[in-house]
Amino acid sequence: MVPNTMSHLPHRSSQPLALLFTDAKGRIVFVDNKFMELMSYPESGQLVGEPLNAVMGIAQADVNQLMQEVARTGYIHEHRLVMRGPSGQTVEVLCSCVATYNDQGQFIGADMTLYQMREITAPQEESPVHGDVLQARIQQIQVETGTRRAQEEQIHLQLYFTAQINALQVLLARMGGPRIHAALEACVNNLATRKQWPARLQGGHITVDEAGLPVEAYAELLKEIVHYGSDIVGRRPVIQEMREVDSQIGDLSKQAAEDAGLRQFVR
Amino acid sequence: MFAFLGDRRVERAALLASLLLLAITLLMIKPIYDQVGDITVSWVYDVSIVVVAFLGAVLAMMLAQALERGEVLRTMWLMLGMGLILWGGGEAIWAVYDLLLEEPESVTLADFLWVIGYIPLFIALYLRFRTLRASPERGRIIAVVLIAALLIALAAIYVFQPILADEELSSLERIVYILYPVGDLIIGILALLVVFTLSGGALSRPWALIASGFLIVAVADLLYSYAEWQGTYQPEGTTNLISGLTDVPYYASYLLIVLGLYMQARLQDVA
Repeated sequence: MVPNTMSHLPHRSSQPLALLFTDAKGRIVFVDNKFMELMSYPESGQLVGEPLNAVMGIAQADVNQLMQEVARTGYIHEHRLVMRGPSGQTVEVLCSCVATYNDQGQFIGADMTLYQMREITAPQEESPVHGDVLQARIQQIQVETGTRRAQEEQIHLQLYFTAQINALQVLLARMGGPRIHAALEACVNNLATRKQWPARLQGGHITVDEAGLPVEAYAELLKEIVHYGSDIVGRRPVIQEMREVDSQIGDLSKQAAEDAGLRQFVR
Repeated sequence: MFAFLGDRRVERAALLASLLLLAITLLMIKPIYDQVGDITVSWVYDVSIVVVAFLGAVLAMMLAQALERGEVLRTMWLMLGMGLILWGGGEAIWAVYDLLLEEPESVTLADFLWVIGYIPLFIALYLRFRTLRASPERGRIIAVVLIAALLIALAAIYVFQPILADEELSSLERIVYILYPVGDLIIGILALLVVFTLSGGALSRPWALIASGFLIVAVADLLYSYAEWQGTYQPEGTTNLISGLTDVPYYASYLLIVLGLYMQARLQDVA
């Protein structure tokens, strides 16, 4: 049984079908496994850096309009999209987009949540923010993590760890571009290989062996990512993003992370 | 017009820089140059370029100050600032010679500062590129290699060869005059590698401006060296097409570097 580690979620009438993160120009920085399954893509790593219109199979003009609208208004509520997958299949969804801005108020990307087609609901009174999409992603990671046989402590630890890596990878991809996104993955994988840890980061997804990692591995891998991220964008934005993720995580995962020394970066 | 820069303040700065460059360009047009007078044009050009160079240094230092001690980015921005201080110092000393004293016949303190300035600039760009732990796509590496090869070939034919063949030059003069294009090329290529590696990310935009500035300096310096050797740069103390094609891009290069630094400062919430 997966314990409830989630803090209060914003009201939704249905669970998200898939999550995507883009940069300011509408290029993919992350897609979740559900999107891959929805569109029948074989491997998520190939999609990072690709334009949204190509990944979703929709017209460039529609993407431009969507990105301009979300950048301007900050939030788009349940915009109808008809996507076309690589095999030619069409998938009709509702898409809600949340804009992400830097400290200067500059638009740096969109967090997109896809929902099943249903009767369109009225917009929420309070628009979601980047933290809400982080939370949805954390919930997703929790489900993915919970399906593996592992001790409860490891589940909580992996949840925290994966959530932090995911958020930092999106941040670095938006700021540094796809080459930096790939370099981050190479850093993590090289360290894991050197230490013979059964972990691999690919296409924004971290894969950990069923038995999990040694506790010190989580801290060392996260430290490597923080170090690399600080070299790219500076320490402050990295720590800010980590604190944002930390604030969305439940208490049990926080405690597991604290015990493993992962929360040293957010203090 | 500058909406692609994505920040209202940066757009305004770009507009200001463009107007400044337009003014300088107009002053370099012979009828206007003659009307305004060579002394006035020199004062405007020399003093403003010193101000722009030091403004760049200030922005780089502000960027460094905003980072924590021990961060490699802090060292990088410090080095960039130091390089611009040295270049600004070179511009200032050159201005004194140009405006108040006679133009020197040989190597001066200005040349020394410009040449020494390459060292911290090289360190800054090398640090930036090294810490990315990534490289551009193969196609872009090929583009960089081709650009470098072209510039080296032009430098070799039009600058190195005449310098080495000139028996009237001292060894010190030969070294300094060759170091200029060499330094420019190394800096320009490193900056280009950084831009191409960051391509697709928000950081690539300020670096695109900074890299453009350093590349334009490389081309402007090459053209200047060639024109000087041929005796076609400002013949009889007046402007002509060659001197305009040298001085305006040279000025533009500083503006681009400063604009890139300002954009980076806005990204980092420093300015």
